[in-house]
Amino acid sequence: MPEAPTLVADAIRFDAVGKTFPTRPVPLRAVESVSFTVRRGEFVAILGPSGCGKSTLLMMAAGLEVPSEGRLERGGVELVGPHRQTGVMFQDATLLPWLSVLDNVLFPATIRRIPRAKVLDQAMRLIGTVGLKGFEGARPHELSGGMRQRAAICRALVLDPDLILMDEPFSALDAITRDEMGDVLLDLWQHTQKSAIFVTHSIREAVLLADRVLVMSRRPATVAEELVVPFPRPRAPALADSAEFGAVVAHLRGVIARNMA
Amino acid sequence: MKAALTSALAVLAMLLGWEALVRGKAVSPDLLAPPSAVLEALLRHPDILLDQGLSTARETALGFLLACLFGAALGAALSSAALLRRVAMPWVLALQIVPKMALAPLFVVWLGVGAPCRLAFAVFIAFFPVLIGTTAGLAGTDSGALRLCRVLGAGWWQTVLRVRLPYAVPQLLAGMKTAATMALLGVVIGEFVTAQQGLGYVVMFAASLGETALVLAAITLLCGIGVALYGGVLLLELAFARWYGAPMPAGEFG
Amino acid sequence: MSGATLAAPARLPWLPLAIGVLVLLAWDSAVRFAHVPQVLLPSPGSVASSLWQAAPVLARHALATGGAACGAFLVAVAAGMVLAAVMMLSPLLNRLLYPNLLLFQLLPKVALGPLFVVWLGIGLPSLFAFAVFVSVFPVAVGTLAGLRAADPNQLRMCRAAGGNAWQAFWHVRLPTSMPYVFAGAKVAATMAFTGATVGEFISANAGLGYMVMQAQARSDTPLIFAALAVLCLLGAALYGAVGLAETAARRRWGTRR
Repeated sequence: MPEAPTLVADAIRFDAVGKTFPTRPVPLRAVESVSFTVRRGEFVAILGPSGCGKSTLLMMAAGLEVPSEGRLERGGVELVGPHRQTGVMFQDATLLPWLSVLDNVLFPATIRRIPRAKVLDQAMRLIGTVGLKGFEGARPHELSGGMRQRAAICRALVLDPDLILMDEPFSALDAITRDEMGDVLLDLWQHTQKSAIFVTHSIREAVLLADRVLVMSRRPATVAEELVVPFPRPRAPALADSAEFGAVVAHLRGVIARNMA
Repeated sequence: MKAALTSALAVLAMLLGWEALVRGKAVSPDLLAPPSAVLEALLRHPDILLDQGLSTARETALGFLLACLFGAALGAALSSAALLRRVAMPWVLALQIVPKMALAPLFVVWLGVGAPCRLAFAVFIAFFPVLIGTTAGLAGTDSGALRLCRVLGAGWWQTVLRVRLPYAVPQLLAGMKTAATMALLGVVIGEFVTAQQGLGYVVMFAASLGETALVLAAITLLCGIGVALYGGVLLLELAFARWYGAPMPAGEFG
Repeated sequence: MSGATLAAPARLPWLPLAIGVLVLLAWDSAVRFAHVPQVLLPSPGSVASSLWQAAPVLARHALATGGAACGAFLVAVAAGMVLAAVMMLSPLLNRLLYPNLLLFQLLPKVALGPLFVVWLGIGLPSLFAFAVFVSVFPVAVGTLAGLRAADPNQLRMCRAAGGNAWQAFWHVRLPTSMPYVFAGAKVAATMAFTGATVGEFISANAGLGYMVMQAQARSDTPLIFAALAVLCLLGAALYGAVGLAETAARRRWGTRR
């Protein structure tokens, strides 16, 4: 690996990053001078309305979009393209329909030409953790939307990345499944020391999962407000029913309303 | 199963009715030979029909294979080069609207009245559905899957082999199904205009003599060839579907 | 998505046109300088002059073929739609006919051309019947698929509002089926010309196909090209007319698809 990560290096750092798309007739300014840092092991949620440019931000972090201005650092080194140690989850599970759940989970290993035997244990363990045991051989069309997204979580984690990027991963699910998936993710995070950026428009999800919440403004997206979530880990799903949790959610709702006005 | 039985019964009833109509002198056997006469014609001229049938079958199969090869290759080329696509696709589509089958005489001018003419014409007719199926299939790859490949740092070849191709094959197969019918059509029209050999020639020759039974016998054999080729593609599709293991997007490309 | 890619961006219509002109120039210079015999490939100029000289004859034959094809097309569209509607409304007929309709798609229908001559003699009736025969199936299959594609929620809504089967057919199924009908009609437009021309190849005493065969016998290749060019133009014109009708229908019945 060319970049030797030092212990002090942040997982990812945005430094005055901006992005303009050369659309016609008017160029689209999607992101405006965004600066923030995700430390190692930190879970950061990015909260904002639909279409505000959050996804662009995440695509830049994934190395799929190049910033128009500013600098993006990954582990202390400038990010120039997709990074081997980054796992990504999209809005849709995007499982390949002709592969079994297990083969889909192992797809990153296939692409990186890592022998199957090396990652099989990890894959099976993850599949068990998210509650898909017994469905390893099933095809995606036989699964529910929530189960597909669980498989996608496993796929993002199978190569043991140190940073996970999630782009509204549960927004295509119904409300009940959505809460369930939040719990799965929370449970998964109690045992790992991974960094994460989680883009969402659900305040509840953001507060439950994240150590820190960044509220984005309307397009062009910029960080309007930052909030450190005051709940210690490990957190239980029941936390969401507490009065303190409700207070934080209400506060954030106010922040967003102010920004939209 | 039940549906197949009903329709088979319907066909049987139709054949019997047809036979009865002719026997009952409601229709002249010169106009519409009864099924029994068609069967008799099949048995009376086995050597001629078999010979001409083999010629047609050979040319159809070869034409179909070449059409698949060229169509898939050109389709892949068009899909991988945006500029080429912009230049060529409007012309491909324009050719789709034109009654291509009427262009058969041109092939006679160029290639004479032998097998090369019929073969080239069959390829010309059958190649478009494969081409369009291939481009549609390659263009129809799930954009999310392509994004996943980029995130994982997959190479061009890996992306093609592991993602684009599996997504494209159902459409390609749909194109091939159309091509199977088209190849036979091309050969038959080629036989009409070259008037040298093949079942199409038999049909035309027998029709000019008023031998309706022989016409229908030759057409029956033509149907056999068509169904066999189409069935072959269907089997291929079935095998692919088994590997694919998921509902496949269907498509038709005329 | 795939459709957009297939149709190629309209942003650069000059590019394919320029290529067309280039091909024409290359063709002309190939004939001029590489001494390709006129019998194999006449120069664009000689095709044009043949077109000009034979214009009155071409027009007469074009009228015969065009008339037969357009008439057959109209009959095929009407008959195909009625056939599909009947199959939709009568489950029994549907069960009996549909699998056979699909089987018929496999049959090399054009091969039946000579039979029509046996039945109806050489001339317009056999030509017309044959053209209808080859073009009716795409319309029937397309319409049937369209009628079946109706949104079940809309049908339920129609029933909940007290509509009967006929009203559901008229207000829900028919509008939904329009794109499918037009897709079938477009294929039928090409097939009608194919049928008419192939019919003329087999045996006829008029029409562009007949003219092509005559020119072929005389090795008058420029005339073959000229006649085929007219034929392609006519086919494209009918196709274009169907496209225009589709646009009009879409405007009339809202923006669906």
